[in-house]
Amino acid sequence: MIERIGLRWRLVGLLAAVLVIVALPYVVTRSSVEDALNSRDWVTHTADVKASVYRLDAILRSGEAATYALVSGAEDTPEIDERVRYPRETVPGILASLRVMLHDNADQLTRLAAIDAIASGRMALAGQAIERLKAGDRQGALASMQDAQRMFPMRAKVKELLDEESQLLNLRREQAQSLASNNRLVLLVAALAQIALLGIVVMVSERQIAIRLAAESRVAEAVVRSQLIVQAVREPIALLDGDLRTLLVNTAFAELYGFDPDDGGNRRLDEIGHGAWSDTALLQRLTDVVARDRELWDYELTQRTVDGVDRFVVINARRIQQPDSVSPALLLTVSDITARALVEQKVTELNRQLEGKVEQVSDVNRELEAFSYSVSHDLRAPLRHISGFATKLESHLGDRADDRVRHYVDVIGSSSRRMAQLIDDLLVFSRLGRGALRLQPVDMQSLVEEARSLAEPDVGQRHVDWRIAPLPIVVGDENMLRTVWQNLIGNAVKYTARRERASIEVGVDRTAVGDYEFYVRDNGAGFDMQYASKLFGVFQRLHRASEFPGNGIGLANVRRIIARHGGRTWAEGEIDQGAIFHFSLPASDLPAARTGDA
Amino acid sequence: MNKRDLRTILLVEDSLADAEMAIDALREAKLANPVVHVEDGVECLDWLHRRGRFAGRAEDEPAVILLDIKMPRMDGLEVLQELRSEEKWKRLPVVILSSSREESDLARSWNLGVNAYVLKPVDVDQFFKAVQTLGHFWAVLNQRPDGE
Repeated sequence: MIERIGLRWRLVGLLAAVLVIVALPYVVTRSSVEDALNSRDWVTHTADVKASVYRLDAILRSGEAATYALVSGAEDTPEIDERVRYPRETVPGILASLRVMLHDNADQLTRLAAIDAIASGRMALAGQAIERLKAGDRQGALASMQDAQRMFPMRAKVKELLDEESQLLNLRREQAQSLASNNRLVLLVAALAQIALLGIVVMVSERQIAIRLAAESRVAEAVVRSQLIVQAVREPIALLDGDLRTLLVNTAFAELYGFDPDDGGNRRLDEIGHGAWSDTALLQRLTDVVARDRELWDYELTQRTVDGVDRFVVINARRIQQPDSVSPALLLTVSDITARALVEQKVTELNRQLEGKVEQVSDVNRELEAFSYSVSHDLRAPLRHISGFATKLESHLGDRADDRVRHYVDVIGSSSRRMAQLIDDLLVFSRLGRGALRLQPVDMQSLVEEARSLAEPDVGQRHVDWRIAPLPIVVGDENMLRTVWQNLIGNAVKYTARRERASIEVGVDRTAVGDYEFYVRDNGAGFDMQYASKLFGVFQRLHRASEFPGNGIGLANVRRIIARHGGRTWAEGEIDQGAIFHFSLPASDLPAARTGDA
Repeated sequence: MNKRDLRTILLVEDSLADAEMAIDALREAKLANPVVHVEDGVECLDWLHRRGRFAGRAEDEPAVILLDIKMPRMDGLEVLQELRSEEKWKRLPVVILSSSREESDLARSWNLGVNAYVLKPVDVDQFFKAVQTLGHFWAVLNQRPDGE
């Protein structure tokens, strides 16, 4: 827009310059011509004045000469008489015409008046001479003539007037010449300016032409490029006219509907692709698009294309104005979403299956909950009864019960207790997986100290070399993490039972991503790495209960708790060399955790 | 020994084996209080309200109700809820005696205003000891205002 305005002002400026440069010489030439005409008039004027003055002088002289002749005794002829009369008849007319000619010059008029007076005086004296001659006074007549010569000298005044007139003429000529030379200069400058203007015009035109050519070539390149793009694009594209006849199709379109892309013009859409476009509803919609400028968005359609495949396609169409025509065209794109549709179908199917599975899982979970509750409540009662009634049996037998009976009752009792313990452990394990995590900042150092003092009674008389590194505050469920430390430290104490000098080391490492990796290392019984995978299983044991008591739930609890915190558990060991148990906790932001807790 | 000391201990327990052991334990504790055993929540309320098969019994507020949770017809928590909603039984001592250590059972019992929640020990000696302690505490040591 701004560029256009600039262009307009430039044009106006150029026009003004052209006008000035072309008009100025005209004006100058015209004034020169006028000046030339004026100076010719002046020359004529001067010549006229001179002629009149000379004529006046000649007439006067001729009259006086005739009078002199008469005075000298010449015969009075009609010719002489005519010459004597002639000045009186003509001089006033000549003077009058001279006054008209000199009316704009006061000095010359003054001089003319003097000449007038002289002429009048001389003519009066000539008249007096004729009168005296007629009276026979020849001497008197001669004196009158001589008086005229003496009293009214004419030549000097005439010369003065003529000189003045010549001078004026010269002055005017000089002025005219100076003006003409100025005009020549102006004309020269104007001519130069015209040449320069012509040069500029030629240059500007050259440049405009070059720019235009460059623009045209750019446009041509852009057209070629967009054609290449349209042709290369994988999505089928077609340009249709108002009657849904093809104006242009790209290669993908032609290939999909089975015709030669170079011969894609002027085909009716519904005759393309062996009925792929015979859907009347779609054709109506497309007609609406081009006729009423309604857009067609994501119209889904199944088409059997030329390769015999049923394809899910999405049609998009919009009206576009063709640059070279008044009638609008229709841009049609076809997106083949067959693969996507199949995937979507698959996803829907999988989702349905997954929902079924989730349902199953929640069913299972509900059953499991009911099961654990039932275990918790119902399984313990019979155990209590078994041991209770065994005891009652023993007391009932009284003295009749021998050692063997008492041993049996003991076994029944201890087995019941053991089973009750297993049930309790299993319930704890199950609860660890189900209950909500109560996240809060947890001081690992104090949990380790607590676990250590809890395990101290099992140390007995042995010496344990405790090495506990400074431990961080982490975010987690305090009760669960307490269980972790009690299990790991309890195990370390338990499995170093046969060492006179036990060594238990607790520490932490930090990974590159900020995760904590805690470990408990002991120099106890260790284990065979071959069975490392069983360590963390429920009720899995690598040692006999007679060697080391326990039911194999502790490490399973540890693994479950750490997994629920998003961490990992692993162990390394060697028989009789000791073991090292690791667990990791993901890096967590304490303030964020506090917020989450609140 | 005045009348108040001889208040009944009401045992609500569907398991006859548990009931037998509990009664044995209380007998061994040499408590003078009579022990009444009913087998579910409905019977418990019938006994308290002296209706149904207990319509003719003499008036007597129990010293304590030892209440199992999981029972047919009406469970212990429902009984507790019923009692705590009635002005007359609001302050009646109720002890849950259950095998369940489910957090949900514990929480509900305490929310309903139980006086104690005791887990039935599997070990027979501990079981006896627990029941005897309960009987001794609620029937002998615990004092309640007259007229209740």
